[in-house]
Amino acid sequence: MDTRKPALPSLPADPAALEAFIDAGAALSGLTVDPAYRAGIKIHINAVTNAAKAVLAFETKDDAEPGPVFRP
Amino acid sequence: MNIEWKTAAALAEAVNKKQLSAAEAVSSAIKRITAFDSRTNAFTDVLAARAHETAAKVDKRVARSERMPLAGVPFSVKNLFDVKGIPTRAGSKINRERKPETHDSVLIERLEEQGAVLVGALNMGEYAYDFTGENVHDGNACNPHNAEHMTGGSSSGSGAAVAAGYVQLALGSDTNGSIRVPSSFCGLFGLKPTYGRLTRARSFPFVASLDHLGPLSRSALDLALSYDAMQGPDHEDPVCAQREVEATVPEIAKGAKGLRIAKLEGYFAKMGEPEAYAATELVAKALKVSETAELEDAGVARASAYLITASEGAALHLNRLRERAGDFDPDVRDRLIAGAMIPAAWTIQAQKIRRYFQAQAKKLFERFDVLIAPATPTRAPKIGQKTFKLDGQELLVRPNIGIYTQPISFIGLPVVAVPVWLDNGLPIGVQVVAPAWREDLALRVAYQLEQEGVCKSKPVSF
Repeated sequence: MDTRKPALPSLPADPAALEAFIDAGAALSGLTVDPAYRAGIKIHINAVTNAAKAVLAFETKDDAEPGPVFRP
Repeated sequence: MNIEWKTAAALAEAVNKKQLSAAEAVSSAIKRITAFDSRTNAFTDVLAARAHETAAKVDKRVARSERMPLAGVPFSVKNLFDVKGIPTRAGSKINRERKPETHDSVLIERLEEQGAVLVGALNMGEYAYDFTGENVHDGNACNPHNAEHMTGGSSSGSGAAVAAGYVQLALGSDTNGSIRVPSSFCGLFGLKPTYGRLTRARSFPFVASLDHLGPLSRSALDLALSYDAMQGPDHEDPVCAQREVEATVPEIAKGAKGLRIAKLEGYFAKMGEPEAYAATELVAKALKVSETAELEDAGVARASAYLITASEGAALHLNRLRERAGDFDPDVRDRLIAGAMIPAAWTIQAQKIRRYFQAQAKKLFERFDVLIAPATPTRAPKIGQKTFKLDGQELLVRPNIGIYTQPISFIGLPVVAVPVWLDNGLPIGVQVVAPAWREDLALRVAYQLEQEGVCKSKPVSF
C-alpha cells in the first residue's frame, strides 16, 4: 500500500510556470487577463493556495457530508 | 436629548405617544445627512421624498392610535438591498446600469410595516468583498469618530450612518464579518443572526452559502426591536428557515443571569493587537467570566471560509469578469479572478470541514451558553493603509481584518458585536456568540453590558 501523504498545494517555484497557470486558468474560464492585473492575481492565488494547504491537510472521512445548505 | 441621538426605542415611544411626529424625526435625519455626510460619505442615495411620504403615513397610523415598535424610526440600508425606484448597485460601477427596482427588499418591507422609515441607501465595498470601507467608485466611507480611519466593511455606510447619528438603524450584510467589523470600528452594536434566520430575498448576493443580513444600531434593545420585526419565514429565500418569530425583546432584560459564559482562547488569543484582548478581557470581567474554552480548528475553519468565499464569489461574477473586468474595483477584481482558478476539489473539502467544525461548536455549546471573543484584531486602521503587524507578522490589511469573525460566520452562529472604549481613542468590538437559533442569549448579554456601561455607543459632534 502506498502510504505517502499527497503533496499539499503549492505555487510553482518557477515564475514562468505560475504565469502559464494564470494563462491556462484564464483561458479555461474565458477570462482575459490584462498585464496590469497579473501582480494582484498572483498575490491572491498565493493567498488561496496558503488557505488550501490547511484545508487539504485536514483529514475528513470519505462519508463526511459537505455543508452547503439544500432543502429538497 | 436631540432627536438624532435618541435610541430607536425611545424615538418610537415618543412618536407613539405623539410627543414627536414621524415627520419631525425624518426631517431631522435628512437635515443632518445633508449637513454632514460630505465628511463621512455614508450615503449613495438619499430618498427624501419617499421618506417624507412614508413618515406621513406613519403619522396617520399613529393618529388612528396604532402602536408600532419602530414608529417613525429613520433607517437606511446597504446598497445591496433592493429599494424601489433605484438600481441595486451593490457598491459596483457595473450594477448601477441596472433598471430601477420595482420592489423593496423583504426586510425593508417588514421594518416599514412596523413603522420604520427608509431614508436612503448606503455606501459599501464593491460586491461586499471588502473589510475596509474603501470604494473606488463611490469614494471611501469615513469613520465618524475619526475621518482619517476606516469604517470597516463591507457594510461601511451602515457603520458610518449609525455612528454619525444620521439614522437610528441600518441594515448590512455579513458574509465573513461585514456587520461585525464596521460595528467594531465605528463603536456600534451589530447583530449577525443565525444563517437562514432572516430572509435575503431581493438583496444582491455575494457567497450564497455564507450570506447573512442583519441590523446595526447604537443600542442592544434597538437591535432586538428591529430583529424581531424582520424575523419570520419567507418563501422567496430558499435558505430562510421555516421558523416563526421567536421574539427577543421580551427576553432581553433577563441579561446574562444564569448563563454559562466562556472566553475563547487558542486561535482567538493570537494574531491580535493588545487592545483586542484588553477589550475582550474587560467584557469577560464585567460578566464575571472565569472559564476559558477553545474552539478547536478555528484556523482551518477560517481557511475554509476563505476558499469558499473566493470560489463562490468568482462563480457569481464570472460573466461580468469576462465582459467588463476593467469596470471592477481592481482590489476586488484580482481576488475574484484568482478565485475563478481554484480547483473545485479544494472548495468541496472546505465545505466538508464546515460540517465537521459545526459539530465541534455544538459540543462546546453543551458546556456553555455564550462564548466571547475579539471582533477585530485591531482598532480601525487608517484609510489607505495596506498592511499591519499582527503578532510580529507583516500582513495585508484587507484580507486579514476578519480573522476572528470568519470562523464564526462559517458555521452560521448568531453573534452580537458589542462596542468597547478602552481610552479616548477609537473603539473596538467584542463578539458575543450564541448557539444556532439563540440570538436571544447574545442580545441578553449585550443588553446587560450596555446597562452596566461596559459597552456603549458614543455620540459624535461635527
